[in-house]
Amino acid sequence: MNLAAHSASMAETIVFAILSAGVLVGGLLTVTRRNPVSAVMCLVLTFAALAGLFATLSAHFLAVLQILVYAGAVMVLFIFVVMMVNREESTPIARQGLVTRAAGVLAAGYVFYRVAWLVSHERTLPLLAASATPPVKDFGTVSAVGALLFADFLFPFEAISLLLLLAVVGGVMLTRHVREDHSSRVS
Amino acid sequence: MTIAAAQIVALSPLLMITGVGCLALLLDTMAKGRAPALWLAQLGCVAALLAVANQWMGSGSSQPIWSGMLIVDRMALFLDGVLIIAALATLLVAAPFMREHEFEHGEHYALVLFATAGGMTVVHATHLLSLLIGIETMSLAAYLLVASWRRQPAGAEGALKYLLLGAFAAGFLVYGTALVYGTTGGEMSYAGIAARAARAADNPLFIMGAYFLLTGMLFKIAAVPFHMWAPDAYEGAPTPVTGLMASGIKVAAVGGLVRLLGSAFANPGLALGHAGWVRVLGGIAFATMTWGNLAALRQENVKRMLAYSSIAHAGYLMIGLVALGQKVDGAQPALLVYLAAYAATTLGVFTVVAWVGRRDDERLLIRDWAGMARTRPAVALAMTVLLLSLAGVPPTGGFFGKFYVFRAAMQSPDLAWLVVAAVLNSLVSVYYYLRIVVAMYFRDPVRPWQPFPSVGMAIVLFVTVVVVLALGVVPRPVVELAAGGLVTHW
Amino acid sequence: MPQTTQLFGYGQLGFGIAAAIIKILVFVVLFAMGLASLLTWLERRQSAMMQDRLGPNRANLGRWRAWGLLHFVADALKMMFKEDFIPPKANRFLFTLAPILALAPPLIVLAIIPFGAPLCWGHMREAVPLGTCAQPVDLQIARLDVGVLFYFAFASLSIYGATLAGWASYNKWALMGGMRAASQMISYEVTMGMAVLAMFVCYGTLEPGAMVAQQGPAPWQWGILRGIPHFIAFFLFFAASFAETKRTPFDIPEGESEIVGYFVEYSGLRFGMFYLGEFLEVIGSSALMVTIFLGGWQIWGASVLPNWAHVLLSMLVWGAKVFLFCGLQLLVRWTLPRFRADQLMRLGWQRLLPISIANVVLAACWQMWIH
Repeated sequence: MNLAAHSASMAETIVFAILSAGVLVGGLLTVTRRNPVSAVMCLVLTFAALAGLFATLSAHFLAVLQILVYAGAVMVLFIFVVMMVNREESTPIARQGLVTRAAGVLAAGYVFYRVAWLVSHERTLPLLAASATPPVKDFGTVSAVGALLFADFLFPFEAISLLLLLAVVGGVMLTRHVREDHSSRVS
Repeated sequence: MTIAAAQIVALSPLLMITGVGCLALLLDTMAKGRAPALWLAQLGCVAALLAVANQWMGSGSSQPIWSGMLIVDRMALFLDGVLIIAALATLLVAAPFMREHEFEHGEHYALVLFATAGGMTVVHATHLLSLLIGIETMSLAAYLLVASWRRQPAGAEGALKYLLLGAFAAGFLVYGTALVYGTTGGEMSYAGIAARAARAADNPLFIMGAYFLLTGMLFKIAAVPFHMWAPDAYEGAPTPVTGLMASGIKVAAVGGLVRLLGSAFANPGLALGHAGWVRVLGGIAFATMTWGNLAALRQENVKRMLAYSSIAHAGYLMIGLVALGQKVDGAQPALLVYLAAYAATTLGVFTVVAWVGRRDDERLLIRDWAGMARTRPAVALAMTVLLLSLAGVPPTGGFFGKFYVFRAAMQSPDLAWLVVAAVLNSLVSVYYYLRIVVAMYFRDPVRPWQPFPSVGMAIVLFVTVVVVLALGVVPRPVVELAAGGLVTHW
Repeated sequence: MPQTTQLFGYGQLGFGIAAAIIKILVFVVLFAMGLASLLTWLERRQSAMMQDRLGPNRANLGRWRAWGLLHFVADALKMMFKEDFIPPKANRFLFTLAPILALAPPLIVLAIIPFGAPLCWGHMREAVPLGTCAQPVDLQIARLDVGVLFYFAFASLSIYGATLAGWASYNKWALMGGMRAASQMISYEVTMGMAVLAMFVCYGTLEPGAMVAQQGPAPWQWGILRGIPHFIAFFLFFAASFAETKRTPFDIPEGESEIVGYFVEYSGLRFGMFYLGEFLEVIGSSALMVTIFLGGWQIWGASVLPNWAHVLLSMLVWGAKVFLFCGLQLLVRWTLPRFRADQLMRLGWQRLLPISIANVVLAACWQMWIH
């Protein structure tokens, strides 16, 4: 293995380690911050690191969409609502209650143990080893994802637009001004 | 893959409901008043029913369409019919109710249709993505409908609890999908999962994924211990919406579970192995029935009592699911018959509850129902028949539904204890249903009775009582219809 | 020890890294930061010329005034030496983070902009017609398949700068300014995306380099004049980019003269970062508009001039186009009065967005029937 390939795989490991640390630290900080705005910004860090992980898996389109939609739009709305509601800082749920925290740690520990087992035995599991085919050349590009969306996954793609319509209609419906007089027309 | 016209036509009921929902939204903004949107929605339901009948003629056995996302077989069409009828009934009841209490708005009608569209997607789903999207659409429309009576703070509270727990349930569904996808080597369609389930069942993460999926679905049917949202959501919602939740949404969720458990997770190793879901589901069914009935005993509020009774009925339905897991042949038709009878009964009961209130006086406590039989004997009689059906007393549809499900369960000797518990629970439930009957017939009225006249509600009440009695006296035709809708096994 | 050619030969890792560093130095540091600093002066000087007054003309080096050009140096020095004041109850971490989130994204988005014709490695002294080079070095820091989406992704991150600045200042007026900024930027981002979506449909690619390659040197070969949806998309994008960069007439978040804005508690270099970030956004959106709509670096002479001359010429042409556009954006500042918040929102959601969605449909029909 020549120098370029060796340093490339080491670089990959380092990049993966940094991004994963970003995701984990961001997630941990999000649930333990008192200040809601700090919590939101930590969640943005999590999503940005997650987008980086997508990029390392050659899912470029997905990585950019993660930042564009999730970190850029959804989280801005989170911040907006947090600032508008403007509640007092309080201890987050993740730091309250010894029993619930212990139960949570046990449950998460069990899941982690199982996932670690899976990762270490990956090659011995027939189903997983069989699906380890290398990706096609234009994997993760816009055209490849677009072709999938409009061919195999056309129904979910279109059905989700109904879900989004519901969300918009609901948002308007629930925040409309309700007239106090007893007329049947809501303004 | 090109979209053949036949695939679009096969989905015509779903597309019709969705399209009419969107048109109703448009019509609400453009036309004067709410009536055009309401009429369009009702006509759309009728048209969709005709489309269902049309599809029924041509679908004996069928294959998944739309790249394995959906299937149009007779079970799905049967449940489609039930869901559309539930939507139609809700529309007929909701309009006068909203006008009486002065919160009518056109989006309500569109949301009812969208909830039905979501439910139809769930019962047609043969892919975890379709299931997820259907559940989410149905649930989001339900959250909005529960909160739609803006002047009632109980509605906002119920909607918020439903939303928070429903969002967690969706999280479980997605995480389960991810785990199943990963551990089966990339399969999300029920056929693919079933094909690989035998080998994947060795993997604890696959079992964990299956349980997460099951948990998400159990949230939706309000099974114990995931039922916390149900009493508050049912009580806080406007009564026609409660009727839709208790009938349409529950039917859709159970239908989705039938297909999920009956095809994707049907593998005996998965179902009956050392971590099998059959035993777990049996335990949950027992807990649900018992808890629902015991809690309903102590309720004074009619809607809350009916909410707990609805939880108990979810328990009885789960007995059918357990029998399905034991590969009992008659389990699936039995479940479909029970669902149809239960939906009809629930719609009728909530129509009466919606009818008895006037503006500013909803009359939701049992003691407020005293003496109804003196001034409105027909309604009281109808209510009695419906309550007896809920309790499972012959000759009503509810009795036959329970009878078929319990008979299917008895075919497997492991489930005998469950059936015994269910029968005991039914006996207990008779008590709290009869409390209402006693109040109506044998107590003096506390306030004068003036239910408002409404043709729509009268029609719904009449039809549901007729259906319930018909199912009780001649259940055969519906059983034949239901038996024609067997799920395709891969 | 590997050979130098193995590491730094064309196509190798070292070559790529060295080329990227040089491109960043030339484009981002020299051109973009330089132009942004220049724009701080140009804004005041051009406004003065439009308003028939003198403008800043005092900063001098000895006797050399240079029409007030040195004012931008004076401004920078002034900002650097001001007291670094953080309000006592402000959230220190977020207060410090906000200017970074306002300055970094506009710099990052410059990575995808092509600023010159491809340099043909190994054949720089010959005339190389476009598209025939065997070893092209694209004058574009990153050639991503997702191209323009990268721009939108990081432009949406700059919203955090304004919002956090408003919140972290512990000042109710700043908070309201921050929320105005967030709502405005979010709204117009949608229109910008939809407008450019029509262009994606027409070009068939998201990659800016490929978009420029499809255009030509002559104005009728530019993107804007290729069809009606292109033309409409240009004006939609132009208008929406004003709202994104919070320039007048959409500058209600800053509202310098009457309403207090979101950076009211920022002084010195922290304010300088916001200020520079705003001008960098102007440059970034101008560069993107030039790339998508106005032919980018395309200029005649690829077949006759030696490659290095052609590249230089294309860079100059591109720079001139961007400069003109920035000047245009500065000019619009004094043509319209500031929009009220509700007018702004109505314009975005009820006028521009429906037009941009209809434009996407029009572009799709155009592509189907014309091609």
